[in-house]
Amino acid sequence: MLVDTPQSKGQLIWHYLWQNRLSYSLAILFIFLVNLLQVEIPLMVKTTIDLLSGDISQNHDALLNGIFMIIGASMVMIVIRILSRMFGLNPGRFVEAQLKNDLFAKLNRLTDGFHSKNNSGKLISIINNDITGIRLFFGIGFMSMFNIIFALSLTPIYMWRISPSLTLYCLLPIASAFIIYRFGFVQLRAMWTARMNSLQNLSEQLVHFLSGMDVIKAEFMDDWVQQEIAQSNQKLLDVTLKIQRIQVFILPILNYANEVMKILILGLGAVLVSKSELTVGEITAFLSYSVMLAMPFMSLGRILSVLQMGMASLKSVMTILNAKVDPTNLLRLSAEETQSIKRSTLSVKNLTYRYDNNETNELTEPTLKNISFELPQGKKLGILGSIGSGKTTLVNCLNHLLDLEAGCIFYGAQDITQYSRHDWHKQVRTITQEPYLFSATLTENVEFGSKNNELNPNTAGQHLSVAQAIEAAQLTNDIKRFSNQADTIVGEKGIMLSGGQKQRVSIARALYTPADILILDNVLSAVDYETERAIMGELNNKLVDRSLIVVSHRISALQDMDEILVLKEGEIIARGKHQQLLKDSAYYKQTWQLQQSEQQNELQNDQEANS
Amino acid sequence: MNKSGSKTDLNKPTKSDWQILFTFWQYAAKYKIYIIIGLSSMPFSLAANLLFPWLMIKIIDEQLMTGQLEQLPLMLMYMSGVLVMNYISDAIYSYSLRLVGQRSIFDIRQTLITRIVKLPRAYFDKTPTGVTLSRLTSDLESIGDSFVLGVLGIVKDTINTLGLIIFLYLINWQLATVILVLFPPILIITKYVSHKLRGLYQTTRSSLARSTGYLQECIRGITTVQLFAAESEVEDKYKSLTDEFLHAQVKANVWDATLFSVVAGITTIAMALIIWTGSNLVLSSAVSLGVVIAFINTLEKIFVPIREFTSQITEIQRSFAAFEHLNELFNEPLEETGQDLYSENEIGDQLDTFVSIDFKQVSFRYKSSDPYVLNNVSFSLKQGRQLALVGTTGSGKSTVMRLLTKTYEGYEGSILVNGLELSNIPKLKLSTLFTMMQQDVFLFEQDVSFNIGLAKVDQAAIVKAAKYVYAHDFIESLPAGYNTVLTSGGDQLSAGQKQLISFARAMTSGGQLMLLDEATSSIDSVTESLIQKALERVFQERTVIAIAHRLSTIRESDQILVLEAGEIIERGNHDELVETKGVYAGLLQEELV
Repeated sequence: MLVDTPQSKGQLIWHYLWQNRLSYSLAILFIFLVNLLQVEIPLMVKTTIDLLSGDISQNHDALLNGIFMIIGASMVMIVIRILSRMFGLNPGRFVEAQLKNDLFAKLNRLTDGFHSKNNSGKLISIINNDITGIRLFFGIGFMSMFNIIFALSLTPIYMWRISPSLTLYCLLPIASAFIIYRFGFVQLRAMWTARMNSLQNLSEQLVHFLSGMDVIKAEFMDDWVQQEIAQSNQKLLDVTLKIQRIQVFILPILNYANEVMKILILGLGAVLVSKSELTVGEITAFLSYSVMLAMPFMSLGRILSVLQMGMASLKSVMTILNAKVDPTNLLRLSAEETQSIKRSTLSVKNLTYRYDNNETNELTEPTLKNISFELPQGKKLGILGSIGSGKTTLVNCLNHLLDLEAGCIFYGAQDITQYSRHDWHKQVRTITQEPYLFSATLTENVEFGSKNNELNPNTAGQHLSVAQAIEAAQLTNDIKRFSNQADTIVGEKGIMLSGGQKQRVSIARALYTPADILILDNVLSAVDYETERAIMGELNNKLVDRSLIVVSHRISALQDMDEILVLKEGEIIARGKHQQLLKDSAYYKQTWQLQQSEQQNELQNDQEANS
Repeated sequence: MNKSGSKTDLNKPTKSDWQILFTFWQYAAKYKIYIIIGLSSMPFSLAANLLFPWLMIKIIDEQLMTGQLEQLPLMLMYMSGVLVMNYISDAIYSYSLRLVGQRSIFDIRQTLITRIVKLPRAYFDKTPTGVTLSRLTSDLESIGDSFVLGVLGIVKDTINTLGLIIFLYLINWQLATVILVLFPPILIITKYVSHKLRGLYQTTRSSLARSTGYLQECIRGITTVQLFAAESEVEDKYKSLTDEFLHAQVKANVWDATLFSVVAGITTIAMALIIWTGSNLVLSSAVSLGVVIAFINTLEKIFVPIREFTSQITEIQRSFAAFEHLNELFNEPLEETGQDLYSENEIGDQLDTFVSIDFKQVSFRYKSSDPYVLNNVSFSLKQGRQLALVGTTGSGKSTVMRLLTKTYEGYEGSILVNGLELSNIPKLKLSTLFTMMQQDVFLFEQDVSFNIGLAKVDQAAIVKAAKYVYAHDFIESLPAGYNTVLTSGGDQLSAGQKQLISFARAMTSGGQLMLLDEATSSIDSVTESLIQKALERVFQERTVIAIAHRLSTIRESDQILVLEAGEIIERGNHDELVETKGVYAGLLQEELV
């Protein structure tokens, strides 16, 4: 539910408080009882001490009675205290878990526009590090807050009953210490945020280097990496030490106020006792209360920083939670609706796309200009183009990864921007140039995307098994060589596999959970020609009635398509079938020849070398 | 219990806590001077802690009970003086030792980075980035927060508590014994609960690491997740990992709460016991009322530290898990450890210029449980020659490269570089001989110049290399030319442009043997033809081992090896292989179609 509506910090806090209302109510009740017992016990001690300073032999039974009362109260307090801590601390953990899931769900619904601006290291650091601050906020933060509230209201009342004037004197050191504390705390607040940022920068840097470890190792860049890390590490150390200075030199002042109070109680108490306005037992009770009055202030020291940290963390978490999600992206088609839009014609009408230029805000040259074509269900479309021709941009428009304006791409009669990305991606499956695999078994990687996704049988009413999908992707022989065959764990981002193997796993993935339209974006670039041909053949066999869009710079992968679009600088400069294009398009022909004829290639090189 | 525990630990592969801590001690030992300053302020702190209750007894017994208040102002001044001393000595103690802790963490992080860079490829294959990241961040954070502060607290509290107990014994042994009697039950409970907590924290840490790793994978692959409409699938899995963490954590909370509350309860029970014992002693005038009151007030000073002690223990427990994780990382064998490497003298100038490579009956598998990916492969390459590897994906081509660069080790047979056994050559020595053009292009978040020259060569050399591979023109056309900073892995570049940069990078490295792995794979034909020209030049001027899908690239190679399932099935130059009409000729035919 947090996914759809942006919220203020207050609403967010309230949302999670309300979610855990039962725990919190019980915690408040038990915390109150603990505090009540805590102020009652010194009164019992007072009675016994006064009995001690009188004639003990006379009051033996009363003394024994008092002692048993203290022991009994202690026992009850143990049980209540356990309950108060359980119910007080658990919500922190519940919120932590809930928020993690909420954040993850939110990130999944945010589009490329958000993710390209926020790198993954930063997002991960928010979920991992900032959430700790929030957990403490909702757990120990709230629990201690109630503790403090009850302690600070009950203790002074009990003290006042014994001696109003002594109570007022006791508040003096506490109040002045608290002013010093506040001074330190204001500084601390800024530094916590600074520290969080340094830590986040360091994490981002580390993720970056870890993912480039191969290059770093191969090029012996140890020293450089170490220096780069040392800079961020030093920044983190500096700000940490500043925080520690405040914690060591300023915050403890509050603790010493407790001892100052004891000196006051003894000094003034002695005067009052000599005037018989106070008993020794009452002094003892007062000494106990002084601790009880100082303790909440002490934990206030800790808790205010916890709350502050939590607020800082909430702020950074809200950059994710409140990022705007296009409301259509939250729509979900029903099963019938999904069924009814199947097998429609994909039509692109005058699609023009330009990337936002954040820095200058100027209108940049469009990457795609006036692209129009139709792809009836079951037809095969090829797209040929060089670097910067807009191939991948076109693919990312078709699969709606990029933010589109309405009125350009239609599926049947419906504009695809009217569907959520999720629903649309069930119709269109894209296999990207750099396939992404999870560190899981090969089988799990092939099955990826099939759960919660009604398997989409082909017209013959059947779908492929994992083994069949692997076979069709020409992976069977490779898998035989793996230690656990299809149960081999392929490592993060498919690190155990070669580029070509990764691409074929992603093909198997597409075949296992096929959609009505399959887009292959330069997928077979790392696969040799023989395998490429076999895979194209399998795709044609297994996906007879589905639409296929193949993007490539290799004509060999495109020549059997029903239509080929030739893209150059964002425009379709030629279209048609292979044979026709060889006649019509000089560019197509040139590319074909470059790929075809080695001799011509060589000749060109020689000419260039001579000139 | 402790002793027998450590004995059995010796048989396990894991070290005991003390052994682990000892290995980390060296980092703190560097800052001895601060440790000495911090520790030498301790006696003052202890003295202040004992003088305070002593002065209290004096005031109660000599002023309060008697009503003679002449000495009272003086006594109160003494007490205030004691407080000031306490503040100063405590501050010096805490700050100097926290300084040691934070500086050590800084050093450990730097050492770890150095180490991680030297770990073999196999480590990165089996360890998700998220796990390594959490070693360097959250584990070290936990040591800074939990261990350093926990230990500082415990050391101080232990000394103060011991001092107090001795002090109490000197005043009155009966009352002191009442307090002491309560120690064993508290210690037993503490020990038992800490044991429970420890196991739970181990579980929470490992499930946290797994959920972090998974989260990271999903976020980095968010496009894939979205394109496969797999949002709910990954969310379900992530939720199950989060729940696992939550459950262990909630269990830990219960134990934590029990420990805290029981110890707090015992403190008040102790009060009752002291009053009871005290009543008999006061009756027999063996003890003054001031002493009883002081004892009751000192209880806080003994039992609160013990209660803190338990929460500090919990904190430290938490950090032990982090220490164990770091220790694992420190125990990961580095590349080239335990290997018999040639010394500088033995190598002399033998590796200054590249002469030859000889593969003799080389076989290799990635793990001992895996099938062989290379089987009895033999070939040789002399300076100035070119060798091309051809074969389907998975035929073992890339493995040959990985063995040569010592990315993976443990081959069978013999690989000689300039006549020296490769496994005995330090990796660093190879860097001047070999230049590898990586299959996956990684770009640093630095400018283009850095990404080409890697801060090793000057700008002129960078531009020269870029021109050499025809990358110069497109680089100039970038917003800031060579100074354009590439963000998030070079998103602003196309796959082909990234490869051009990687190619230029390989050219600046100055290795005498170029290793090209699928270098021209995903570049469109027009750009590829430019690269072809550069490649031709490289093939003429350098010694090359190339893996290429374009057979045109390797046509001029002196030797072409055709690999299949880890074995060489054909070898010869282009013309010879065409003659043979075997696999190579078939591939050539296909490419022409």
